[in-house]
Amino acid sequence: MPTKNAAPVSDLTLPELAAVVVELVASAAPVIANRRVRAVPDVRTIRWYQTLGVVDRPASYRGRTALFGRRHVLQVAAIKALQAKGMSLAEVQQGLAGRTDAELARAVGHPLAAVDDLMQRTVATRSRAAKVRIDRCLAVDGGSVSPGRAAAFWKPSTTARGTTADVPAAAAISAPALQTVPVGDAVVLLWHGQPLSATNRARLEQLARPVVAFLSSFAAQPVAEQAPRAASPAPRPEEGARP
Amino acid sequence: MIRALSPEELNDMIGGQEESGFGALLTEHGCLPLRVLDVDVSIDGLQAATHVRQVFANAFAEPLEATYVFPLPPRAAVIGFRMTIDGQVVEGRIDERAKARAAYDEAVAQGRRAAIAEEERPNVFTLRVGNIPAKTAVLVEFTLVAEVAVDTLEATYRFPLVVAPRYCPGTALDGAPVGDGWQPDTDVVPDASRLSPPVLLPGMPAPVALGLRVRVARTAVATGTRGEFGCSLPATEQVTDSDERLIVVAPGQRLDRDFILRWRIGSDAACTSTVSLEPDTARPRGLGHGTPATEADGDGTFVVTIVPPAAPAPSRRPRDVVFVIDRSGSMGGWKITAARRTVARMIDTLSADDRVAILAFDDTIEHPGDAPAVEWATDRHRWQLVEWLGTVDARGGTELATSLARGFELAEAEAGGPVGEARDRFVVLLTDGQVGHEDAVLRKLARSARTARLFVVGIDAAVNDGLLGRLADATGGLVEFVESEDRLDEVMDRIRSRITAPVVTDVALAGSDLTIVPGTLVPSRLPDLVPGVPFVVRGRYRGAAAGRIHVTGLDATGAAWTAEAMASGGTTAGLGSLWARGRLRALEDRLVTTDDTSLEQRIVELSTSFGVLCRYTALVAIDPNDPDRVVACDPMRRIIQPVDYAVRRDACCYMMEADGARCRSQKLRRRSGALPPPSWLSGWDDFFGDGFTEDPLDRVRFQAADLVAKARPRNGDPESVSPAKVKRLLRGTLALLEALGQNGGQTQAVTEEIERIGAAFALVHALKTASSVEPTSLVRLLDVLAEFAGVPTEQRWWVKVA
Repeated sequence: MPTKNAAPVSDLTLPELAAVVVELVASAAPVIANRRVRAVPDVRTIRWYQTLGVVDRPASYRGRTALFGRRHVLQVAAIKALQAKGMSLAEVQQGLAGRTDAELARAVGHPLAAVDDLMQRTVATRSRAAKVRIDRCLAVDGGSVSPGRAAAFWKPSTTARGTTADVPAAAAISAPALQTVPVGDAVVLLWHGQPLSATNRARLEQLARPVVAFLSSFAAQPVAEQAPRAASPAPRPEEGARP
Repeated sequence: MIRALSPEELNDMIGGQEESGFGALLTEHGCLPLRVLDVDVSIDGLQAATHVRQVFANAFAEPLEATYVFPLPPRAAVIGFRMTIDGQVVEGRIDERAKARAAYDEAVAQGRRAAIAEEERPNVFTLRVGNIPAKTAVLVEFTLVAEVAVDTLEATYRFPLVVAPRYCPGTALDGAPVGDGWQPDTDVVPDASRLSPPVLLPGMPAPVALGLRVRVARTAVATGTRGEFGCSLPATEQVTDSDERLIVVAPGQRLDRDFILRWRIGSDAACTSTVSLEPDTARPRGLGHGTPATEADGDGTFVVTIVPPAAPAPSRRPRDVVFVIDRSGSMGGWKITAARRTVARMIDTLSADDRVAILAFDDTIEHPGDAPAVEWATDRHRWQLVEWLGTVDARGGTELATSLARGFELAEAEAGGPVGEARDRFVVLLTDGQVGHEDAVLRKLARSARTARLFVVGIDAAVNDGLLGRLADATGGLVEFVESEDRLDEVMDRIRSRITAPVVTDVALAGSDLTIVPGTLVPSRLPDLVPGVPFVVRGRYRGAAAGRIHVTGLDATGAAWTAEAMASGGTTAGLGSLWARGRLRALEDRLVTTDDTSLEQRIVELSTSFGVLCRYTALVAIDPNDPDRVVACDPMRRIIQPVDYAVRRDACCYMMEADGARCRSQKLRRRSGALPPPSWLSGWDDFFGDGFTEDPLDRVRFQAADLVAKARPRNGDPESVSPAKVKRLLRGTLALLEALGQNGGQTQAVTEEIERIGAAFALVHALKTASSVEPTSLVRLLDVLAEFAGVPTEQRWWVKVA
């Protein structure tokens, strides 16, 4: 049931955007029939559309995650719907310029209310872990500034000769970010290696619990009562939104 | 005479069609607002009066706000601004930038029609036209006074047509962007979103109708030889009865490069030193309010042009030369080749007394050898450098600031050089200048540049002449622009000779019968005289509008040198505006490098007094009496006009025949048709670091289209294709099939394509094994390739038209 007074959704992550778009377009037109169209938009495709101006910039960034709203959903879905009808991207660019949400919805073939409803449903069915992640990101003040498009320009040089001291970003790319995994109340595990997916993180937490319990048994002794609390968690990178 | 467009003609632009069902284009022009760009130029001596007209049309049934990010010549003074809707002309005014923006926002919120033009960089401007009524067109006009660059042989007029994408470093800022472009604002470039209009995809007919006409006085052009005009767009010369020569650009051109017009100048104009004056009493009012500004003391403006003496016998001093080469992704293709060629040629001119170093930069700085330092240019070292140059390819971003500063450090380092010997120091920068952090580059340069001379070679068809000119002005250096490999051939000798000591140094100006007001000279750091480059200085004078100006200096031997120029009488219009523009740019640069905020007030005062646009003021036009105010819909439709991607291939040079004959092109390299060539595609990848094709087969399709176009023999007859061409075609087709095989198995679609083009394989085999070229098999192979690539029938050159 559509909830009339719900606040407009404006924090869909990229995978959620892709899921909503696929559902919108699949019921409206047979996308597979047009073989030049990739049904599920990924990060690079969205960025390309933003360069062309057919999709707006993300509504906001939380840390490194780009968050999207209804207009973005409608724009991507309209592009896919028009491509399914056989228009080239150049024609779509010139045809979609300056369209309102209502017109985009007409192109997709669904009323605005249905799109809103779909987005609300996607938000409601977010997995608990995803919700916790997003809340944590929202709670951190400001978060780390997203490297965004700038990261794409920095490529680690293969013949590292004569690098200047003033060019730090190349070094930053080569050092993988530290990821934090809280284990229990008092301990935070710092992970320095491959980026962790959600399941891996959960498993790591599970495996680390006995170790932490064992260590805590030492910490329970009087000397360690003043043990400092763990550092607050740094904002975590979102998988799926990596550039 | 510029004929004003009537309202009917304006409204005809949008075709007046009803909003059709979605899925079809609204009109044959689509929904993009910009429909016409019209440029009218009238050249007189060193100045070009330019009139730019832009027509925006709203095809929707609700009001629209259109934004357009466009370039203008960086040294031109914008002195007029006007908006016309429904036959009603609204004159613009100049105001401090924040106030102008507030006035525009308020007017648009009230539903009134308004336009605002702001300067982001010396050569990038943003125009916003708000509340364009439904189904109407708006005409916006700019009046400029532009410079004509003159050297001893030829004159050049350059008008840019597109803002190329720029590299904007830094970490992205949080919060809403300040502009509508696609690049995020960063801490180093806080207005990156104002410099990056969206990119228009090729493959559709050009949405903007370009009209460009240039009038040059007959006496200014060298007579006798045919084809004395050269132009970067196809153009014809039309016969006129007046004493002007009229060059008209062919219709249907895309806005993807600079418009450059060159002509050989008459010998009398080339050899004399002149002074021209414009008293303030004769200066037109224009947008300025006329009250005198503290910066503009004096009674009038002068410009002195001195022709430098010829180069003396080559008894030159030893030199230290540092080459700084931009090898970023945007330099891909012919540009990095041109840069390497130029550096190799300049290294050739060095001798064992000189020292040389090369730095090649993108995100990092690379150099041959273990440590970056100037080394003696022995024959062996020069050869090693040239060999290393051959490995320099285009990739990565553009860290211009640190690299240029490093180049200056190297050039001015004393260690290792013979003490007490006077050496000339040069830094040669080869780049396209496509960076967004111009202020940061300038700031860093001002801290590190002391005695070394800078020579900039700007290599691009849509070069960032604003930045490169600023770099040259800040150090008293020279800049040379090269827009194609053909142009490089023409100016290579001149470029090679630039890294020699100037003929006259320590230049000073003095006037007799009129006094030069101190501190008003533009450029403020008087350049040294270099053979072949006329010395042009503008400034303010006090006294009667007649007299002489003496230029003094020291020549190569240290002896005093002097030259004199007499005011020829009469006034030259536009001098005041050009001087004011130069002075404003100098003050803006000084504000950037010294952070002296009191300059801002002086800049705004000079800009509003002379009516010349600068970064701290804006032009705004608001419709005062609006009988039926548009009711803005909420949220208002807003479109930012996408622009063509600046052409990466060589810009062709067209030499025109006089007297109305059709132009012919030398070495036409443009491939006609909708599909871009592969080098465009790979260059894009390198620049943005993203692949953009949706379809993995697109790249292969482009290759197929390229093969088909390249196989064409001169007369277009498939029977006369040479065996070498056939071999190349076959090799290309096999590579293509291999590429397809790598993509294969992904989707049903790809497998079908492979099956379809698999027929090509049999044909290739047949052609390879046959002893002579069989035209029918060749034609069938070309058909298959063209079908696969989607080449339209009119470009299939082997198809005989019945």
